[in-house]
Amino acid sequence: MADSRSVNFDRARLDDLPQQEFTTSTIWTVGDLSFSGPSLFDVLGAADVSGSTVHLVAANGYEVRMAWEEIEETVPIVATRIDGEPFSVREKGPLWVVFPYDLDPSYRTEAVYALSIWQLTDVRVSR
Amino acid sequence: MKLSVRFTEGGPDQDVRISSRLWFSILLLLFVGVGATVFVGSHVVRNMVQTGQESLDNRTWVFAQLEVDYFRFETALHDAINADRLSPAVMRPLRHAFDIYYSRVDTVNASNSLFDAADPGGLALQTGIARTVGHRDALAGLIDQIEIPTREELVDILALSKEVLPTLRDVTTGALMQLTRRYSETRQTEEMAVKQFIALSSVQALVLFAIAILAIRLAIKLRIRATAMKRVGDSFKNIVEASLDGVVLLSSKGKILSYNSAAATIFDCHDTDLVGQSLADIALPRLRHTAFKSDPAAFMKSALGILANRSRLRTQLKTSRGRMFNAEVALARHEDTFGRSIIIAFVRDLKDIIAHENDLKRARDKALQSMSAKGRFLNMMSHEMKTPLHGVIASLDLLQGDALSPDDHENLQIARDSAAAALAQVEDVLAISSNEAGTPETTPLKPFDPVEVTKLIVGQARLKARHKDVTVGYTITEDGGDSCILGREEAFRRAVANLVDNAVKFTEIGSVKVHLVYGPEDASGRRLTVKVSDTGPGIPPDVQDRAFEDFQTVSHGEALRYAGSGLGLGIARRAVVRMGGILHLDSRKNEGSHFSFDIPAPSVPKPQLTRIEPQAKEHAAPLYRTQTFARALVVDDNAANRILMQKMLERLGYSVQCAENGEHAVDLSDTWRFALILMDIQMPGLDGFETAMAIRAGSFSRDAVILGITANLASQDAERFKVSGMQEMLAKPLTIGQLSEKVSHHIDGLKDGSLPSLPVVEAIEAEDQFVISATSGNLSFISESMERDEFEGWLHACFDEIRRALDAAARDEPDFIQAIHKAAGTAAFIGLPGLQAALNQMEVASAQTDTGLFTSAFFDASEIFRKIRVDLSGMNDADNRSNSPLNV
Repeated sequence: MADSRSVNFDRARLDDLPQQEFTTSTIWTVGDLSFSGPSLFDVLGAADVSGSTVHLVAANGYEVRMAWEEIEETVPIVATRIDGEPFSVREKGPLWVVFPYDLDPSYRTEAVYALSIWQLTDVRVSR
Repeated sequence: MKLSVRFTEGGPDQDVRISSRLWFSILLLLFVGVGATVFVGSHVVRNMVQTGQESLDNRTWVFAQLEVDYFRFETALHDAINADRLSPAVMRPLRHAFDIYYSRVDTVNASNSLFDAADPGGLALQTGIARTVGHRDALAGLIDQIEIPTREELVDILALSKEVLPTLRDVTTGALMQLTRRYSETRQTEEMAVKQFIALSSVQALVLFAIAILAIRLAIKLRIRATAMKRVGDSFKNIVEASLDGVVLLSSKGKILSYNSAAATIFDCHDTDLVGQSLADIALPRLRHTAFKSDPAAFMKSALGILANRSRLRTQLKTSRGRMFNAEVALARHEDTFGRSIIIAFVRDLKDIIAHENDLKRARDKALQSMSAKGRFLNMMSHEMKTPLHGVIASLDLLQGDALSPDDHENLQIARDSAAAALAQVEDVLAISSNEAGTPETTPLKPFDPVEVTKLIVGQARLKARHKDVTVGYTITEDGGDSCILGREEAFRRAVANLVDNAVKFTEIGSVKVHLVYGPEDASGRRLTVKVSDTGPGIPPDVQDRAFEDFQTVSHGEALRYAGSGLGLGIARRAVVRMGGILHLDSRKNEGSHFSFDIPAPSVPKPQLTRIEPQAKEHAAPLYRTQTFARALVVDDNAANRILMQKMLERLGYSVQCAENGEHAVDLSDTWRFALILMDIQMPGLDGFETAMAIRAGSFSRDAVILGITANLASQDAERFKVSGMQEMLAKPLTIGQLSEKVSHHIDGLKDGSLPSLPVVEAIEAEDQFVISATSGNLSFISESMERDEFEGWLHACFDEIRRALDAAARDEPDFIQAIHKAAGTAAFIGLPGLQAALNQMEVASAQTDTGLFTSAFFDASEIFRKIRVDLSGMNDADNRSNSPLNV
């Protein structure tokens, strides 16, 4: 794509963004976990991009699409830490898109589960 | 909440009532319906959430990806084995792929708790997952040790890796089977929930349907009720509107809420709207309006209090234009549909009603007037007939001594009987018509002895009955006490005499008996019962009611037989009523009649019967004489009276002129200035009242003292007397003494400026005065006051009647009592009260069969009569009239 632009975020840069934190269980893990990291909204903001659709791509090539309007200011987050510790690929790290599933039934839907992509590698924005 | 409307207009009493129970059930159903919906809805939602269908979908994916991630790792392993050069860089994608597989196994393991070992295949699945985790950890141990791999190591790892493949297959298929089963279970649960929801929704739909039906029913009822109420309201409005009474609806503060057109007419405000205005401001006259303004609430309260019992109050109100009118008002308190107190005022304009009442009053007065005119006419006619009848009887009596053939004797007797019957008839009519004149009983009660009166009547009746085979008697039953009572002697005499006369008249054979029964003296006073029984033909029951009516006899045939006018019982009935009793009749055909009445009979001591000594009262007072020259006028159609009055007035010093009728009198009084006018009341043409009014109206003599003279001081003339302007009415016969007294009173009275007096009872009382003068100065006066021939002719007839009566008494002739009775009347008429009294005494004594008293009275009368004749003859002698017919 001719006008494509790429912004790289390393851990430090992600840590510089406003941090969100919540504790929730997930259907993929056992017990409550405390997730922290910048919100996807802030990440996109920091990248200074705009578009209609956000593509989230995982390490295994798994890709989901999210309408821009679905992105709330603080939800989802791009979790960089679980229980305050960075987490590895074996622990679905280093980046995991997480919603506060316990907070509201609307976060416990098929669509939201599908968007909860772990081992996040790329975020692409298309018009 | 209770809505209740009752209306009874037309048809049966429909009670449209929306009961509280209905309202309650509707509300309950609504609550149940909403509650069920919420419950079922939340239940379904909860079920959906609990099933975690989303998570199941996702886990399916997670398990599905397990093998994918393994094969990617195995591919990376193959790539590494086949790499040209084994270096640490070769390990990076291998490690990355393994890490992803590692995390996948973790994810799968996290779902381990989801499965139940008890489920079929559950244990195998859990074992498989545990083996996979163990296998992964073993692989991790190998891979993590390698820094620079060797092909052998990688092949070993590959071999180890492949061992897990069947397990992975088992886990994947087992998990998918478990999840599918779980999924179908969830579906079943959901289906159940949906079924429940449908069921509950159906119930709710039913409930809603029921509510809808109830609501429709309610709506229909409300519409019916609204229609009915509107109809009732319309009917009521029409009724109110059609009412002739003004109807005004007021608020509790007196503000007009609505009113009908009758009210608008009454208050004269068709062109303005009164709604919102205060009725008190419009309708109350100033004084009451001020009272209203000072305290409206208290005024309304008292008004409602006065009219609380719904009685109507007549009062004055005014219209909106200020015209006052007589109104009839009623107030009623009511509550409107909102429970507020309202006042309904009913107003009726009495203008028409009062006009109607006045018309009725006038009509009644006119009827009464014409009735009393008739009565007066009857009264006058009877009076007029009495004199000629007396003449006829006197003349017939004079014929008695002449030589007549036996036939003529019989004819003469018939003529005498007929004349006597006619006179009796006329006297009856007179008695009735003077009663009819309707004067209330004013004569005071006096002591008298009913026994004495009865004796007299029985005595007279015996005389009448002696040609028949009829005995007349009386019995007295006394319960101690005195026989004398306080009452009306004249009425008693009249009642008993008429009953006895009637009995004697109709009884041919047998007896007539009078029973006097004195009752005991008790709390209500003593009563006297009088019974008159005969053995006559009796009165049939079917005509008994009519028997007491005037001019009634039982049948025409019998009327002819007995030649009665039928007035006797009517007179008796009236007399009994005047005494406060009721006349009863008990009679059967051919069994005689029994009349009875009872009256109050208070006991009084018997008055001593005393001889009244002659006294010259007439001469006691000196006659009045006018001091100055004055003219007087005598108005009388009767020449004799005219002369008598003229002579009297001349004696009092007046210069007298005479007029024979009213018209002449008016002419004369406009020519001369009379100081005194004596006016006969009953004259042809203008009567005395009319003449007096004409003179008063503006003649020369309008200031004269006018004294009316009448033989009949009937009270119905009082009104006419008042407006006539006369000073007083004097009763005939009039003595010079009385005239002198009246003239002096009125002439002097006028000089003193005092007011004229009303006709007084003095003149009537004169009748009761026993003014006995042995030699009446009056008589000499009469002789002076007439032309000699005229006077002599008149006086001769009078004296002859008295003489014949006395002769008859001396010879004890059959009808002497009647003759004496008539003679007494004549004596009164010619102004001889002394003689009259003596003759009355004879009458009484005869009835009582008191020989001593009779003899004494007889001699008194004879002596007075003789003296008068001596006086007259003396006068005649002085005048050298030796041939005077009085000289007997």
